[in-house]
Amino acid sequence: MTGPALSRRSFILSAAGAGGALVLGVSLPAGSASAAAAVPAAVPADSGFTPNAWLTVFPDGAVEIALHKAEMGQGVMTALPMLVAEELDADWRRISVRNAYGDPAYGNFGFQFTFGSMSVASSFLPLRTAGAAARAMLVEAAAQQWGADPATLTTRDGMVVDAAGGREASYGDLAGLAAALTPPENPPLKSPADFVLLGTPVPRLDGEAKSTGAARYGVDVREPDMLTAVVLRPPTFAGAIKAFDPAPALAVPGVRHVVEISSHGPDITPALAVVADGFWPAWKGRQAIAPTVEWDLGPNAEQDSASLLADFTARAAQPGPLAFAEGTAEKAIARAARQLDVTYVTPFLAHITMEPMSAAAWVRPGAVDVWTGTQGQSFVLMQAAKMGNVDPSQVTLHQQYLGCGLGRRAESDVVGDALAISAQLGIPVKVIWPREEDIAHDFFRPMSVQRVQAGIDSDDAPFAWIHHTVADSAGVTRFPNFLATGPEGEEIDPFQAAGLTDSFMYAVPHHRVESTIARSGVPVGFWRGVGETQNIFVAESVMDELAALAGADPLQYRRDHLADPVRAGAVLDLLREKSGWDSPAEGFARGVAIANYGGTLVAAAIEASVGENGAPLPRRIVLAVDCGFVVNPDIARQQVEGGALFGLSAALGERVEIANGGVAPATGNLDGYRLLRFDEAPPVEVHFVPSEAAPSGLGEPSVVVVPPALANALFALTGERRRELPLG
Amino acid sequence: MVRLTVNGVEHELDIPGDTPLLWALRDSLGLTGTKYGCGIGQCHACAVHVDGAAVPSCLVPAESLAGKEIVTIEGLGAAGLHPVQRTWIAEGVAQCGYCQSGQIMAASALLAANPDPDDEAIDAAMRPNLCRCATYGRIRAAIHLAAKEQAQ
Repeated sequence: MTGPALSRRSFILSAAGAGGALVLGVSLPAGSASAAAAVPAAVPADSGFTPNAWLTVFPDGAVEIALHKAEMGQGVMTALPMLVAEELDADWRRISVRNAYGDPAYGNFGFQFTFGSMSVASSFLPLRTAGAAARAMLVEAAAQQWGADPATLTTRDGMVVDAAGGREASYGDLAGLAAALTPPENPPLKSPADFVLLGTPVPRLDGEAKSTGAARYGVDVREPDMLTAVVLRPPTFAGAIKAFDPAPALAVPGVRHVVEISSHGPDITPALAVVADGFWPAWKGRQAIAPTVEWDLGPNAEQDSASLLADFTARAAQPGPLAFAEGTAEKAIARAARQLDVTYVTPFLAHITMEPMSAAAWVRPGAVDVWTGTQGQSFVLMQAAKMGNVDPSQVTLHQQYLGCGLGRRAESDVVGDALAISAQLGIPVKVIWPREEDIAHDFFRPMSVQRVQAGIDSDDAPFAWIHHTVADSAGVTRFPNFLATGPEGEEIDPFQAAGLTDSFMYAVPHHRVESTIARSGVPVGFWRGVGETQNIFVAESVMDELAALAGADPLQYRRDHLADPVRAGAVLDLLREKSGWDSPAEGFARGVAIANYGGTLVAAAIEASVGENGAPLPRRIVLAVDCGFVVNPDIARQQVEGGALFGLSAALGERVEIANGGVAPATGNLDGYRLLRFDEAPPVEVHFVPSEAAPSGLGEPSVVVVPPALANALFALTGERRRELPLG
Repeated sequence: MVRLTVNGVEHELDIPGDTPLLWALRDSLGLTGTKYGCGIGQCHACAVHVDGAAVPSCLVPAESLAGKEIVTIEGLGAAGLHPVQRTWIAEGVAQCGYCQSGQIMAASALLAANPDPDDEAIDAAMRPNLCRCATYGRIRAAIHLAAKEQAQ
């Protein structure tokens, strides 16, 4: 039995009020005024109850939830709406999701972006609060309608229920009345025992679209009169165009224009763009013009992998700027009972997002449209306003699915290309980077050379650890705000030393970390796992070397010397149990690694054998993870599985070869840059430590423990310590 | 003029004969479910069925396909989801999803030819398809499940 339906008149009055007056801005942690005010995606005034930036309840009961993070496979499109829907007590079958931008509520630290493995963590309380506030208003609306005490009313599946009075009303019917109410400041949140959705494996909302070809990515965008541009950049990172003749490209049927664009940012070269009716004629035009262009190769045209290695190695052997110090490691190392002095090398890595870089733009006076899948919504909006010479409120961003983000799509260089070309031609243009360009002009995971002097005392405990890492920093060119000052006043990049300082896993009384910014000129950026992808390989290999010096079991040795024996100890204990660490299968050996990535503790045990060429053959990967409360266990598992194999890909075969100041042809496409293949992927088992602590991130942590665990397994098999990646 | 039969429909396209099938599908016919990943046949995000076999459409010139039956991801599930698509959803395979059209075309071609493949046969059929999100374990599980469901 339901209560009386709202009269149409009361709905219209309430809905009209909802159109403008009731934005309950629920700010995210560390928020400040958004740097880019842009047009919020408008909800028409007669279409329901919008109490805050996160949700609208429509008169028919449908609920639309705003998604402020980019869906790039990590599952935010499902997990974040779950947070709202749980506290709202929505009917999950009536949920739809809309990409949103522009409201300050969507920002972290003043910008809207998706990276850092922090989407769920930073949304956990604010989005639940938004759902709870809306629920409270709907209950109050029903209470007023029925003359009932709201404390006696309950909610479930999009309905307010008066059990005692034998009546119920749908959220849709209550929407108009609720819109007239004042949102509560601190609505109570559910306790985990009452969760209906959170903690359950709700199927992904994008699962079907991604299985039918319906999901649309930036590269798929098709708009009226939109042409396709394929870019051609210099063969070197620092090159430019000296002279070119458009004729060879224009001679290809279907090619409409050849456009020269200048550099629109640091580490971004000028480029030619062949603009055509579609990708194929544009590509043919590019291939026709490429041999005829006169390039200025720029200042580093002789740089290659060997010269970089020699330079970094020489610098790693000397002291560098101090990033962190506890105790007096330079003196203590000499007092160690046994010590080692080792140097590790990690290569430049390419992102290889499965979808090559792509963006479309239409620039005309007073308006700019951008279509792309981006991890950096705020940065795209700012760039479009600047390059389109419009106010940010005149930019419309059409966010697409991302064919991988991996940190590459946090950069808006391809958007800059699209804006520049469209601005010149005055038409909508879609830019697609061919895979060769996508690799050649990537912002790489930095190469590093890391020298470690470490020693144990007479009780075999880690005693002194001096760690010097030499690597490039994106802070030098594109992100100067990320640079910091070390304890001795020298410039450092905290990302570069990540994992070696505050989040270092072990209690070492004399601990010194130095990090030198290499400034090699090779463009670098943020790759999934960032600094920890180099640093944890080294730290967890060195810890294994110390265990070997001590003659100790590698897992037990770590367990015995954790800085946080309670929480990290629980992770290692779970890993020991689930991996069967104490009883390895015959013919196989085990390697282990543990890390703290942004508060998530993750440990991996890899069981492996050795192939004919000495390459490791991983047979099984087991991971134990403490990430606090797990919002969606199936999506969480997807991330840990995928991240582990992403790390395995780097461990086995990935490496960018530098030659003649650019990417060498040998690693210039997927025939030479070796990604992990189907038949190389072992089974991955994931175990979560049960927890009701606030959630921490999962997109990146498992990436960083796999390379050292594999190298450690290889050592257990062969007795040979491998100190350079890749291992295959 | 290039003649193509795609998802049961005949088309005449005024495009150069050397246009890869991939770009005839995406740009001329607007069928963007088939994806571009490398252009050199190394990733198979562009896989479609040609007379039942999964082939990388970036390497196949459009002019070579007269009289052949081409099926794309859009056509696979046209009469309701293919069993492979159902198990892909049930197993939670897709993450970013960009490679999955090609993966599904490869898997469905495998099962059409070999209804109960063992892991070695699955390895061989799926090795050409790259997945950067590395959803490989769930792909394997979804293929086994689809084989089982098709047998019932």
